[in-house]
Amino acid sequence: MIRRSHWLIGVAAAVVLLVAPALVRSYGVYLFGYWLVFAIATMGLNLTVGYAGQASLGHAAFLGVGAYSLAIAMKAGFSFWLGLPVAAGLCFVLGLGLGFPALRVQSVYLAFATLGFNIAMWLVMRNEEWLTGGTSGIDDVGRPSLFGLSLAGNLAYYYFILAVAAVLAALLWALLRSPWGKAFTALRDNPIRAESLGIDVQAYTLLAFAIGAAYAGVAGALYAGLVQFVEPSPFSLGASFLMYLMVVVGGAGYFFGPAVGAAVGVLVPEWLRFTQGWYLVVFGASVILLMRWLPGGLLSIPDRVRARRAAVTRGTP
Amino acid sequence: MTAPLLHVAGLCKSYGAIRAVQDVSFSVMPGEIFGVIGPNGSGKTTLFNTVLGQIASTAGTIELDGRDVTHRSPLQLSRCGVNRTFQSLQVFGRMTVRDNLLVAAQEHRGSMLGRLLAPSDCGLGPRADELLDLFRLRDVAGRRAGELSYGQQKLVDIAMAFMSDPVLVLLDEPCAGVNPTLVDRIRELLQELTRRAARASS
Amino acid sequence: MADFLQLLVSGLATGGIYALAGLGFTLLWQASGTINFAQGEFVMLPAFAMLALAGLGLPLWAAFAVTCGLSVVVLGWGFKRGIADPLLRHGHMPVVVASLGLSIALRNGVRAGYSAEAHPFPSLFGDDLLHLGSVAVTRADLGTLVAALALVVATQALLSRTVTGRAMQAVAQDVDTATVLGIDVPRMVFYTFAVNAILACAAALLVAPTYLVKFDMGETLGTKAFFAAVIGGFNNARGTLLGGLVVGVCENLGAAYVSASYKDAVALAIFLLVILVRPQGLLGKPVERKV
Repeated sequence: MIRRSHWLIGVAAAVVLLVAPALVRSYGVYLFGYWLVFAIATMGLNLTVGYAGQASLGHAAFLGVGAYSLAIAMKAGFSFWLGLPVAAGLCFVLGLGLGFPALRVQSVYLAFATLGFNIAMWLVMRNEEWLTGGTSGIDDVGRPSLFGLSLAGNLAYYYFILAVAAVLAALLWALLRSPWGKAFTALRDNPIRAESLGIDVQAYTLLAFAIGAAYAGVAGALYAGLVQFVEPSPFSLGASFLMYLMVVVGGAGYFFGPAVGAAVGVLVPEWLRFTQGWYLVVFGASVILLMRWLPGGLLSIPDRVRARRAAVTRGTP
Repeated sequence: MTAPLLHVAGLCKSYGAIRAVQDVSFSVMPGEIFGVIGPNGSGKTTLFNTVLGQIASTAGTIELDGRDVTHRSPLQLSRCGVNRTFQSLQVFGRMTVRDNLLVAAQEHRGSMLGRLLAPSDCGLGPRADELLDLFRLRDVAGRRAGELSYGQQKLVDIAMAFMSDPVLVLLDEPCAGVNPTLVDRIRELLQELTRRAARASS
Repeated sequence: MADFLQLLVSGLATGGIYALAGLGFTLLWQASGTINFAQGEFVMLPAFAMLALAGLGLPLWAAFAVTCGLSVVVLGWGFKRGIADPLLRHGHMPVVVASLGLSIALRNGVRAGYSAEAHPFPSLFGDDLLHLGSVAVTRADLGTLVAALALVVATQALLSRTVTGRAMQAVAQDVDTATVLGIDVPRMVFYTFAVNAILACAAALLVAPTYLVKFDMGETLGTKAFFAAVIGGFNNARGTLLGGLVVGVCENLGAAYVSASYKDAVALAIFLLVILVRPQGLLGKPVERKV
C-alpha cells in the first residue's frame, strides 16, 4: 500500500537524482557522486548493524579494500568491469572472515574487534608500499567505458554510479523482503529464540557481515573511479565511525536511512567548512546530542510522533 | 506397544556441588500431553534446557524416536522437529504477528539459498492462517507483536512453537501470569493441536 | 641480552600505564556497563591541566591534587550525568558512540582552542640511568612501573578491604541484589566514575614526561587500554594489570625484533587471539549465558 505522500517523495527524489546533477557545476556533480558512493557503503552497513543487529566499527576498511583492489587491478592492465566484481568478491570473503569473531563475542567486544580489523587493514595500506604505494597511494585511476561509450566524463560517471546504486538498492530490497530479511530481524531482536526456531544464527551472522562488506567493496571501487586517487587516509577509523554515524543518523533498520544519513554526512562537512578547526568539535558535540535526543535516527521521527499520538489517545502520559 | 517419542534416562545436571537435575527418567508417548510439575526452583527449566541442548548434561541419555540426541544443539534439535517456548515471553516484538509465525517455521523449508529466492512467506501463508484462526488472532495479525496485551503475546508465543508441525513441543510454564479464562483456552488449544497432529500422522 | 632486558623493563613501564587506564575502564564496565571511548582523552586533559597549573606556579604535587579534584567533578560526575546515565537505558552501543563523539570533540577542542603542539612535562623521577648488573634502565621506567603497580594494588585493596569498596563490588556483580541490600547504587556507581578519573590522572602524570603532552596523546592509549583489559579478563582487576603488562612488553619486543611499523597492531593481534581462543581473558572466569 503506497500512500500519496510516498509517491510524491518518490517522484521528487527521481527528479533530483536524474535532473539536478545536469544543472549544477562540476563540483556539485562530484558531491552527488560522493553521496551515492557513501549511500551504497552505508546500505551494506545498515544490513549488518541495523537489520542484523551486529556491531561493526570497521566498515571503512572494506571501502578501502574495494578501492585499492580496483586501482591495483586497473594499474595491472585489467578492465574496470573485472575490477568491480573482484572488489566485491574479495570484500565478501573478508567480511566472512570478520564475521567469525562475531560468533564468539557480542556488542562492545565485537565493536572493538571490528575496530581492530580497521586498524590492521589501514596499517597494511600504509606500510605495504610494494602493493598499495604506501602513503603516496595510487594515482590516475581510470574510469570504465561501456560498449565503446566512455564514462570518463564527470556527468556520465555520475549516472553510472546512480545506475549501480539503483541496482544494489533493488537487490537489497528483494533480500529484505525474502525470508532472509525476517531471519536477520529475528537474529537482531532475539538470537536465542531464533536459534530455538531453527534459524542458523551463525550462518546469518556471517552473511550479514559478508554482504555488508561486499556493498562497501563496490562502493570503494566506485570511489576509486570517482576520486581517481587512492590513499590510506579516507579509510581510517574516523571514516568507519562516520559511516556508523550515517547509519544511526538516517535511522538504523530503516531502508532509506543510508540515503538520508549519507546526505547528512556528506553535506554537513561542506556547510561547516567555515568553522575550520572547530568543525570536528561541533561534530563530536552533535554526536552526543544526537544519541541523547534522537537515537533512532531521522527516519524514526514519524514513528515517534505516531507512538506519542497513540499514547495520548490511550490516555497514558 | 508403540515406542516412546521422547525417552529420558538417568539425566543429571550439576553446577559444582548443586545437583539441579538428579537422575531423572521419563518417557513421552506419541499423542500424549505430559506434565512436569514441581515447586519454584526445583529444576524444571534446567531439565528443559538440558533436554533441549541449551546446557550440557553431566550424565544420562536423551532419545528422540529411538535416536540418541543427548549432545545435540538447540539448532539441531529444531531440525529434528523439537520446538519449545521459554519461561519468559520471547516473541519478536518489532515484527507483525503474522511475520512472527512465518519466521517460526521458514527455516524448515528448503535450503538457505532457496529461501533467498523464495516468496516472502515461504509458502507458509496457509499454515499461518490456520493457526491464526485457531488461536483467534486473525484481527491482530498485522499488528506488531510488541503492541499486544500480555495474554495475546503468550498465544503468539505458543502458536510459534507449533508452526513448523513439530513432532515434540516443550512448553515452559505456558500459563504463567495469565488470567484463568486464558488458562482454559490454552488447555483447549493444546488438546486441539495434539488431536490435529495425531490425525495428520495417522 | 642487555637490550632485551632494557626493552622488557620499558615495556613493563608502558604496560603499567596501559594497566592503569585499563583498570578504570574495567571498573566502569563492571559497575555500569559503560564503555568509555574517550578514556585516552581522560588522560590527555589532566596532563594539560597539570601543565597549566604548574605554569601558574603550583608545585607538581599540588597541581596533581587539584587536577584530580577537577577530574572527579568534570570527567567523573559530569561524564556520568551527561552521557552515561541518559544513554545506558538504550543499550551499550549508544554510550560507545557518544563517548566516541566526546573523544573527537575533546581532542579537537584542545587542538583548536588551546594548543596543537607537543609540550614537555616535568619528570617525577629524573632522567638518570640506573645500572642493575649489566642492564641500564632509566629511573623513569622503573619509577613508572613501581608507581603503576602500587596504584593497582591500592585500588584492589580499596575494593576488597573497605566497606565502600565491597559495596562497589556488589553493585558491579548484581545491581538488583545490591539495591535490596540497601546499598546506595547511584552513589557507588559515581564512586566508580571518580576512581576512574583519578586513575586516569595518575596515568597522565606517569606517561606525560616520556610521551610529551599533546592533543592526540590519548588517541591510541584508549584503545590499547581496552585491549589490555579484555586480554587480562574483563571481570578482574589483577587481570587488567597482567593484560597491560603483556601488551606493553609484546609491543616493545615486537617493534624491536619483528616490525616497527606494525607496533600498533601487536595489542590488536593479541586481543583477537584471546577473544577467539579464550574469550574470558587470561585471568577471567568464563561467563555462562542464562536463558
